[in-house]
Amino acid sequence: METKPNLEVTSRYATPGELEPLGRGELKRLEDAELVTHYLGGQRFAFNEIAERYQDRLLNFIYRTIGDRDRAEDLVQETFVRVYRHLHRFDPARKFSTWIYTIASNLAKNELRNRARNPLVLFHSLRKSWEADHRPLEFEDTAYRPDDLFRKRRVREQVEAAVAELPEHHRVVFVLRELEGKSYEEISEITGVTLGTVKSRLNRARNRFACIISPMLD
Amino acid sequence: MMVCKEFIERHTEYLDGALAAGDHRRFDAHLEGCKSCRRYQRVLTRGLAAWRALPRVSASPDFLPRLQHRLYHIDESPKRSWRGQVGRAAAIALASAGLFTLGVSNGSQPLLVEVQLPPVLADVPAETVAESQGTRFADDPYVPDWFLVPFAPALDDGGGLFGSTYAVPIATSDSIPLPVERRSGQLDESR
Repeated sequence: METKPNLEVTSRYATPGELEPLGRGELKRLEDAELVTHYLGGQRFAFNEIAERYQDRLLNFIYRTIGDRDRAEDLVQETFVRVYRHLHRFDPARKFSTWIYTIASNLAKNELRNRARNPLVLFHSLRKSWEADHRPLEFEDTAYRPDDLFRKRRVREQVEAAVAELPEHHRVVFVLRELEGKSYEEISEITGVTLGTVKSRLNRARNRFACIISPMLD
Repeated sequence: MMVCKEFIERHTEYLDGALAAGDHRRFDAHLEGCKSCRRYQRVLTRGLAAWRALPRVSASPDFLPRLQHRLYHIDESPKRSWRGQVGRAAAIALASAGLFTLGVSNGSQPLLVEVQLPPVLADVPAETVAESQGTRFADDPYVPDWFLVPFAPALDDGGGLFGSTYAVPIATSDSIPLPVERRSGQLDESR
């Protein structure tokens, strides 16, 4: 007689004490969903591993979206706090990275909307990060001539400014695709729009981006 | 034959390899023959490459300790679910409504409380009455009897200016009752 698989057992989270405690090295080798399971099973260090794994990725995503590094770090903190509070509600059938990016994306969008309501915040320019004090230390390649270096720097500034000029809903899609390498389906899930809208927004964002930077790169 | 408009409109799918094989070949063919679309493709790919090459930022060294500190406080603070907050608000609203109703009912119909107080008796020796008050008001028909009851005899306690006047009455076996206004009846609590 054929027996049906017990789906109930495989879809629930482990109760505290049910899982073997793992060391940090072992936690690093786990998939995101397994980390969630271990955390909800009582292993507190599993959440640290999640935070370490995503902190820089989320920081870059939010930073490229809102253009303010310090504020981006605050929003990444807020993302983790929300994840921590609602982790028990995470559906293991979904991809964890999509879920955490959805939270981060919503926070970034709220930030941009708040700025739109309060124009004073707009003084935070993307270019701030390119002032001498903020620029990371770079070792110059002697094969380049000074005008090449200057041109390279100008191109960087230009592309960053071009992305900053994109409308908010286009920019989020653009950053998720170009920086994070998310698929159309993932972007659709993160942003809560249809697949067709994702393609359309991405195409418009790329068009606009190309128009802005063409004088520099042509 | 593909036109540039179609190429630009569906370029995202072409760039990301999301087109069907047949469509992809059509795009390749158009690109080969169209200088303008080649330029668009070149500018976009170079621009995207430059943007992706921007230095990535890293979280500050105290990021994780700060996060752990915040999470610690979440663990420590009592859990405040929205249901709990709604419940608390409802309880407060109910209590306020009850108090308000009570206040309204008090205003329209005062709450009366019946209080029975025992009579107050002040005992003084009978001879003291005769000595102190008897001569002055004893024959006055308008002075009530109880007014004739004097204070207790002065105690020579050296208590100052009013020391003797407010001396405590001395209780004796043949004392006379001191009638006082009986303060029993209805008290208006709302006042």
